[in-house]
Amino acid sequence: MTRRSDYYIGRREFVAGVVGVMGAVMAAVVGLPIIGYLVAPALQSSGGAGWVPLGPLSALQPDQPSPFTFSRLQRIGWKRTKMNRTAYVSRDADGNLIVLSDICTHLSCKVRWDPAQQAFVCPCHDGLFDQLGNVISGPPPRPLDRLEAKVEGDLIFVHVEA
Amino acid sequence: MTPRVLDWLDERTGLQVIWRTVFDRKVPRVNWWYTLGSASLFLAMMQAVTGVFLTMYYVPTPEEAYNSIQYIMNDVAFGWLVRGIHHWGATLMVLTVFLHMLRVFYYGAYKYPREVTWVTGVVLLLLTVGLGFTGYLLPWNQRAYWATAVGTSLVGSVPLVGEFLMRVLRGGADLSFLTLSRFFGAHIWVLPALLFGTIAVHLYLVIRNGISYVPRRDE
Repeated sequence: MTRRSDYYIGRREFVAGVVGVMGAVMAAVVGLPIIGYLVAPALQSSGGAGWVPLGPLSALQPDQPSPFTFSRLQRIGWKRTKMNRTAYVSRDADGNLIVLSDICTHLSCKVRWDPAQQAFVCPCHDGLFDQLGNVISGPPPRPLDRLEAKVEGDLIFVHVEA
Repeated sequence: MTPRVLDWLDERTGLQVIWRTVFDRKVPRVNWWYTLGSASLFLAMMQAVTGVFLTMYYVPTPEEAYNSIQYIMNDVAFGWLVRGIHHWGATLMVLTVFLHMLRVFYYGAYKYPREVTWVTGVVLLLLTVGLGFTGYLLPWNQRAYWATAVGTSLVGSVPLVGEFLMRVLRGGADLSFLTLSRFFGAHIWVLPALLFGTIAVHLYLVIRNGISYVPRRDE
């Protein structure tokens, strides 16, 4: 019988090791690309940042926020999808246009202007915002988001992010 | 894992007995043809894994099926790899399962006491072919559509009940979105569940009865 050193590896251990290494390699070859496969849509831009016409200045109501709906095409997956959004336009004390997103800053439900309460009401968790989007009560952590706006002629434009 | 962790686990689960029974069992001296069953099992597991990931993007409707696969192939990172493995794995699996059956047949390994193993094996072959047939429609391209038109028409030639069976298979008189929908359901739920359930029985029987040795010249 040959003398076995401390580093001796028997056939059984060798085969087990080879099987283990090959299994790990195969798992990596399939497993690592799967990560990229799963996160792929998160890394794709839906496109469509830019100025969007909202509506005419003349449609503004004098003393309360006026809802304007606008839509833009977004590339989602293999399709161009028309996404409808609403923005509320009002004027602050100095007469500047304030364009508010209707997405609640708490957990992104859609807020709605309630003339009776003179407030934006979020139906999900009773968040209340005033006419300029400041939090009155409820869980929202910050005021409603303001969209960048400009006026060309009689038309109001808003800038939407990608 | 350290021996202490393994001992702790083994004392509470009996893992070592399972490991010894499944992997350290005595086998006769055999040849490479005996690896086809393991190869089939490996391919089945690969099909399950890649199939699960494909369903995350695939949409089983006539409007979106083709486009969603184009998206997987061209826009999703490594989508070509996941679908490629599923596509070629399917073909290879039918091949290995069939060769596995031939090996068992020519070595007479289906005889006593392994008749039930053989019967479950036949069920597994049919399920594999069924998975191949239902999966073939899912790309919803010309080849898929007409292959399924022909395949379901074959069922229509069965005497008396053929017409009815064909309508059941198609979900109506003609190939439609209902056909695609039910083939998808069969392909990702019904057939895989039956396949892996039957594989469990098949493997239990293989381990219980042990594998047969290569027949000798004088047998």
